[in-house]
Amino acid sequence: MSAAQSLSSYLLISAALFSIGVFGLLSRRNLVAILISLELILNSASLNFVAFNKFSLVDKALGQVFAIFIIALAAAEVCIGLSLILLLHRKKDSINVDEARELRG
Amino acid sequence: MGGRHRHSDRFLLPMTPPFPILSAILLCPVVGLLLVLLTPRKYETLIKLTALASALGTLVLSVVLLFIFKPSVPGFQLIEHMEWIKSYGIHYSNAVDGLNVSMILLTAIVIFCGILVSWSVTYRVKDFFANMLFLVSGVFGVFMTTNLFFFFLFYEIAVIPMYLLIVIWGSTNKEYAAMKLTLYLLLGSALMFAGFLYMYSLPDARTFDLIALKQNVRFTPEVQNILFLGLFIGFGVLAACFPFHVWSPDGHVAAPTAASMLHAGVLMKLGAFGILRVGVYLLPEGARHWADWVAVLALCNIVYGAMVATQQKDLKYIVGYSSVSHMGIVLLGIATMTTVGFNGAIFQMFAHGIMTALFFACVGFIYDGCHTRMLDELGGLSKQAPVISAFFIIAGLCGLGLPGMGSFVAELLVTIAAIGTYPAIGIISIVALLITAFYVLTAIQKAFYGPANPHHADFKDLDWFQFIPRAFLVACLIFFGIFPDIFINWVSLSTKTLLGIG
Amino acid sequence: MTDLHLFWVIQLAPLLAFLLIQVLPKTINKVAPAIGMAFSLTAALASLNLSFAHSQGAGLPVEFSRQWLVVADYAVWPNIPVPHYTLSVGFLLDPLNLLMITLVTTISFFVQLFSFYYMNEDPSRPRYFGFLSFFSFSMTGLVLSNNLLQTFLFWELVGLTSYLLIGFWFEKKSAATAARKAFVINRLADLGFYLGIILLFLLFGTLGFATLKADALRNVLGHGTLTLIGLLIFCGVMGKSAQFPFHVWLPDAMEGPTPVSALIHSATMVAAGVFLLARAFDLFSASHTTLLVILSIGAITALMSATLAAIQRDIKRILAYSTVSQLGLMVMAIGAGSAESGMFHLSTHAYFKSLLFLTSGAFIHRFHTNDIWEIADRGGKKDAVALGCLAFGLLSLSGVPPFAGFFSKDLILEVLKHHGGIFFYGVAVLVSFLTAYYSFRLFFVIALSKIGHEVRAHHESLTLKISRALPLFSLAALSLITGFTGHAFHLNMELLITTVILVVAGGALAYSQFKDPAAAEAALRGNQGFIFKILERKFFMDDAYDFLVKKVGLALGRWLNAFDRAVINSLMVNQTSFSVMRLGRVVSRLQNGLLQDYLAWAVGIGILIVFCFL
Repeated sequence: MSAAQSLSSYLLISAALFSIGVFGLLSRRNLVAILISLELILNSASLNFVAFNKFSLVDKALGQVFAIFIIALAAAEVCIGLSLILLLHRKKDSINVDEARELRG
Repeated sequence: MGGRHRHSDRFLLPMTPPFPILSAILLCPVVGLLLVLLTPRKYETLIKLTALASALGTLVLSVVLLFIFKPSVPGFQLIEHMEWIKSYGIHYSNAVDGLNVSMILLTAIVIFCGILVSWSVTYRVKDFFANMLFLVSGVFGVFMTTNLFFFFLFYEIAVIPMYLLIVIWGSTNKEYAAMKLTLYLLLGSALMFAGFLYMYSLPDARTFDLIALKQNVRFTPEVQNILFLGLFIGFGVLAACFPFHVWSPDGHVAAPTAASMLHAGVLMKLGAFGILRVGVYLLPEGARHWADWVAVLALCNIVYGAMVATQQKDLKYIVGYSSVSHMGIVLLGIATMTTVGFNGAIFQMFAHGIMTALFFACVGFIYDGCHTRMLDELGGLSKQAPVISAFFIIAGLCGLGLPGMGSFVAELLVTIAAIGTYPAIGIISIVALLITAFYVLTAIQKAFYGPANPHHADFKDLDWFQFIPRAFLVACLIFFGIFPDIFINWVSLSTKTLLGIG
Repeated sequence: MTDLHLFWVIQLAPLLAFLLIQVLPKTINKVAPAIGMAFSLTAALASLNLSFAHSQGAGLPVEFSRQWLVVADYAVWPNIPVPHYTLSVGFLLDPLNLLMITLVTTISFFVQLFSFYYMNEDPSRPRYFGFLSFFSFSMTGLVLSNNLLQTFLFWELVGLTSYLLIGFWFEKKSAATAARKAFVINRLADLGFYLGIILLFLLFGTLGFATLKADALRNVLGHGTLTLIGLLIFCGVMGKSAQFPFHVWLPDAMEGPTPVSALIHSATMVAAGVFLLARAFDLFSASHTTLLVILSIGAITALMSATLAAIQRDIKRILAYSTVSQLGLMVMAIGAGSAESGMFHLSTHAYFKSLLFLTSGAFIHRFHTNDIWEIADRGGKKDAVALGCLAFGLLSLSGVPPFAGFFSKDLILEVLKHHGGIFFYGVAVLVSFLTAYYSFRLFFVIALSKIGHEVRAHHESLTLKISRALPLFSLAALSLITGFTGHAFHLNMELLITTVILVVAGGALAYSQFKDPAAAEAALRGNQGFIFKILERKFFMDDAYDFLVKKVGLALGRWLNAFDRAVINSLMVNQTSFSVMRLGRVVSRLQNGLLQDYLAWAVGIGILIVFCFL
């Protein structure tokens, strides 16, 4: 098996995606960027599912099903997230996450 | 076991007497409460009359109960039993014995007078009387139930309206006092409920029924010691036992007149009653084990409460601390673990309940008229309002243990028992009589004697209607002071049973 | 009527008067004095009837008793003669309280009669007569009681009425303070009484006077216990009969209306202590130590207050200290073992001292001052009725034969000479000398002064004149004749001579100093001597009480109050709730509303968990 074919390289890519996603999640103030970072995390998860599906020999379809679930879920999530962001923009005229902190203790 | 034998007679009696008088007493304020809630807000007089009618109903029924009650029958009588949640041993069951028959009478007297005294309430009349009746239903429930679950439930029912009464109709730092009182009482009830649950969890128990617990469960000495300590602290908070007493003066001061009357007259007695009904009844060994400490705390209550009362400037604070001092006498009576002490303690609960109700009924009237309770701002009230002053002076004399009043006999019995059991503590506790005389007379001198204060020149004395409840309380005090054997006759057999004598 | 009926009449008539006066509406309360007098006359007649029926001691003692309260049906205290403890109530009549009840009811009738004159213009008359009747009720209850607890019950009630009547003019700050002082000091003394009763009840099992016999007591109780109980009960006596160191309330009690001083603070209530000593004499005589203490306390009191009486200017205070001193003499007599002589002096003293107080009331009411020099200045000696009665009373007080005081005091001196030892006899002789001195001083100041600003008598109606003069004359007559009714009446020549010498010496000394009262007053004002200072400060007794109350008692109260507020309320209670709130505030800071902070926490904690567990 070539290096390109090994599981660890997929996992490395997924980990990098996840880390970039987490970094974006924590560092960006723009809500759309945060949403995109969230998508990166989700995608890293689905990449993992597909990779494990390929290299482990349990049931060929299971990992792919999960990946498709995640895509659907991400789509729904983006829907809700974007509409919330839109509402926030209407209300505050900004989509900076730091502006939206009414729920503090 | 003697206990097992004694209580089997419960099964010889019919499970429900022909007329369920205890439930009737309990339902009277509940029905009154519903009627008050159904009456539209604007018919204030109708609301007051409804409340008065239900209070009068309970009073009449309680007096009837005294005649039905047979002091010569040991154990519980007039048992009313209705299964509710059988698998957890939670039943609606009421019964009387010598311990609670007088407490039911006391509650009925105090609520009757309390409603008459609150005739002058003008702010949110409907809510006020609804709360009063709700509160008193809870109190009746606690006194008559024989199921620990319902004991707890009724107790909580009594606490919540008290909070509302203080917060809405109170005075002087009322939010603070109401919150303090409620938190304290809930702390007490939490400890008490923890104790109940622990009893429930013991092997052979699996019931909240007091009588069944007494019959079925053998509490080992270690369990008794721990449980009694927990229950004593829980109930002690209610009885304003030192050092858990500070809620009571603050609460008395903030509460409106009728709520103070119920609070000091009845609510504080729940604690002492609980110690006897649950603590001593189920855990006699535990009670004996801690009796010395209880006696020391009681002495602290008696002397400390009286000493602190000498320093107060507010009439209600004086009465509040005097209550702390007098509740110490109740606790001392319990600590002696003798029938004489128990009789004295129950008598003192009764006499003190009526006496403080009278005290607060007088202070409340003065506050309504003069808009102050500070001793330095009053003065010479005897000149323009001789009747209310006379009532206050009578209450004060009862407080300092004047012979001929109920509390003298109570204190005498407790002191006899205390000197018999703890000579040193008994002798020191007598000193409180002197201190009490000092602060009561000082308060009388400052508020009622001396030159009249021109600020209160338009202060009007009692009219005949306001005269009735106060005169009724005085009559009760003097009646039981002159004929104490009637009272002692009600309780003496039950206290003997409680101690396992006779 | 049987005796029991008569007892009920004597006991309840004054109570009925009290209740009637309270119940009557304000509009017709003018009849209050009439009600009071009518009912007290009824009681007086009933007790006279009793005393004639039993005049030779026939059919005595009579006792009626019923159970009042079952305290316990087991022995609270081990090794006790009775198996159960029961308190009872009842009446007991024997020669002792037959004498006392006659005295109480008759004097209270005379005082009510005189009060009609004295309180004529007072708007609170109904209250006054109500309290006076209530006092008579309590006092008769005390006298007729057959056991110690019932005695204690009425003992406190007479204390209460005394409190109410001293503070009758409660608008005056001094009156209100004096009333409280009287009650609290009596309360202090009564703590001992109360404790003594409880101990006796616990250890002996019964409180009936009929069962308190010296032999029975000695059989059950040890000498130490008996002494303890006796002294504790004597504590109560010291309070009520104003014995050292509890005597301080009596002079202040003169703030009350003068007829009240005559009835309560000279003739009856303060004598209740001495009466109790005689009533429960076996309890005290069972231990000779107790008797010795009683004798010494009586001696200290008698001497101390006789000296104090000699420097007072206020006529009521002179009489008050004189009362304390005479009570001291009675206590000495009983301490020396002779209850009869104590009671004899009590009864003669009751009549002549109430006479003296009523006389002083007559002066005060007419001249509106208590100061003897001012009374004299405003024409005291022109009031022939009052002056004559004053002379009568003072002669009896100083023990001039054949007045009543002579016989009873003679008897006490004789008892002390034979049973008390030379020291106590000497004290009594000194007291008699001082008594004669201050009596004559009082008389000379009023009778020998020049009249300066004469106050003319108002025109008084005939009823008022009668109600003024009749009690004075009756009591004057009684204080002359009661001396001959003494049980152990015989003349001892040696003592007669001693007494006469004492009286003459005292009178002569008083005359030499006060033959010119104006000059004497000037001298008195100028006197700054050390002994005079001590006397003026009343041997610092008031200062000592002040110190105890303010510097010890109230300071402790202040300290405990601060403890209650600072430690229990603030530190324990409020700090607990505050720290809960503070904790909540700290924790709530975590929820700052910044989405990315929450995420950072979540990620950080997630990483921590991963590293910890994997």
